[in-house]
Amino acid sequence: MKIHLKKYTLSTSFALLFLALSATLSLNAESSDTSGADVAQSTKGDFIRGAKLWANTCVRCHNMRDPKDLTDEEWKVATSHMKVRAGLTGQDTRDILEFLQKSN
Amino acid sequence: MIHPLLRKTLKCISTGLLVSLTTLPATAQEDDTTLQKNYEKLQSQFEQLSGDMAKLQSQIKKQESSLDRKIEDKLAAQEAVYVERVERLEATQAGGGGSLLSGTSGNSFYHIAGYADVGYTDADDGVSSFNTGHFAPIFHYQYKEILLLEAELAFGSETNEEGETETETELEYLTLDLFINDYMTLVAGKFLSPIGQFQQNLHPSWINKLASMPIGFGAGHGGASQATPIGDVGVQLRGGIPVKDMRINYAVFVGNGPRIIAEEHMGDVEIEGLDTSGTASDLNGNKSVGSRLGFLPLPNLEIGVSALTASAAYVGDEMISDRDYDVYGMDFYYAPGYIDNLTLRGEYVKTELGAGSASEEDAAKKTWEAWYLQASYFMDQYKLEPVLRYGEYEDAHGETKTQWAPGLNYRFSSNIIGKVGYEFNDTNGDEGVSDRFTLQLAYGF
Repeated sequence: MKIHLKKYTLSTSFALLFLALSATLSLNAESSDTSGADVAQSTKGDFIRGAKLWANTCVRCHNMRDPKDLTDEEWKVATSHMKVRAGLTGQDTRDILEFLQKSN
Repeated sequence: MIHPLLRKTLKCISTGLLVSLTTLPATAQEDDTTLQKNYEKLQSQFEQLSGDMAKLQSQIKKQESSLDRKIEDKLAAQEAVYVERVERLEATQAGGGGSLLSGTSGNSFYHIAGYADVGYTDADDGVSSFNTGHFAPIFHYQYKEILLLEAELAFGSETNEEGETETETELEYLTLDLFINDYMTLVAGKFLSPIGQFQQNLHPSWINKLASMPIGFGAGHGGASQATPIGDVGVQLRGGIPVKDMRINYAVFVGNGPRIIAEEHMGDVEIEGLDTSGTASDLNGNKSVGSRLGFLPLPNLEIGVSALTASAAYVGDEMISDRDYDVYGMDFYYAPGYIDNLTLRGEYVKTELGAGSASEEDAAKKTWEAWYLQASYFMDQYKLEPVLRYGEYEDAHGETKTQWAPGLNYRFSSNIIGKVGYEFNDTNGDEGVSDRFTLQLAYGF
């Protein structure tokens, strides 16, 4: 049983790492044409959508923070953190950031 | 410059005078009385018009003055906004500087967030004490929109068995997050377990609605995790996918896996539990593999399912071999739209450690199982939030604990929370558990 488990976990590990590596290479390929910032920030955030997402998404875990709590630059880093932690899409993240930066 | 209304009035007066003068010769033959009357009438009209004109001039001056004040106020307010924005930009951008807690450096942004708490507990067995709580700074360092470094340290102090106070320092997590695209991020390093929600998202004291963790979701004797894993060291792929109006979020990970903690009691070796805080190296060459999928059919409803499988490693002289290790979990969050500010959440997790061979010490299969349900309602006008949590936890020895935990929180602000709570604890085990009164002040920054 242990041997099967080991094979299973190792093969899955390699599959996941391969997927990650492929995706990373894909990013690098795109970066050769455009800057890294442009790849992720190709679409602008939407204030209205951002306001709705802010109201619905943040409270899934914590109290809604006042947009004035942080500066524009701080919100940029904070929303990147929340993108990872809450499983937000890139567009949702940009929408929320647009709302927070316009409201602080 | 003459106001149009004033100009019109003067025009009327002059026209009237002119008409009067031109008609005088024609009426020269009239008697003096008639002339005198006409003259007086004209004079009266002239004086009335002069009075009206003075009133109009006064009104115009007042209006102009009021308008000037409004314009000046508006300009001043606008200027203040611009000055504030310029100062803020200067503070964060100029010369790569910024405040101690945040700033920019070329293409990188940094920000220090985190949380801290202090508290007081009074158990009904007579033991009461203040506690220093925790201080957990979180460092964020981001390069453009490509990479984010995240690291959380945790500082706390605890009284050991000799009555000495020890300061504890721990690296809660340290990851490099590579933003692959809008829907996927590669997270590598030491991370909090994506199994369920409490460990990875709800444990910070300014987020957790009560001063304590739900029973079975923390660490037990010897630092062993209870029903839920705490973290791992490895790689994750995480992200969110839109499906029409729905959202799906996911986390798939590979890690070093857990370590078995065993201790000798009265000559017998017993497995106390598992160290799932993230071993710095893989002790048995078997990787753990796990995932969590979160479904959001509605913006105010999330349902998550998690699973993890690994081979738990044992390093020691005792007769214990590596064991199969499996974890299953479910979690949900719901904020009913028909009652504003009501939040419901719950979580279930079960950990199984497989049986060893007959020749091994403590060979029996072991199970840890825990769940909780929690409701909280924020009364906006009073800044108060009543909370009620019920939880159950069954450990590997079959001992079951239950806990009712009502509480009342006061929000000084969205990130500063004062908590008052009481825990009604019960158990079927030999060791009694006492009820506790808890106080906590938590600050998220």
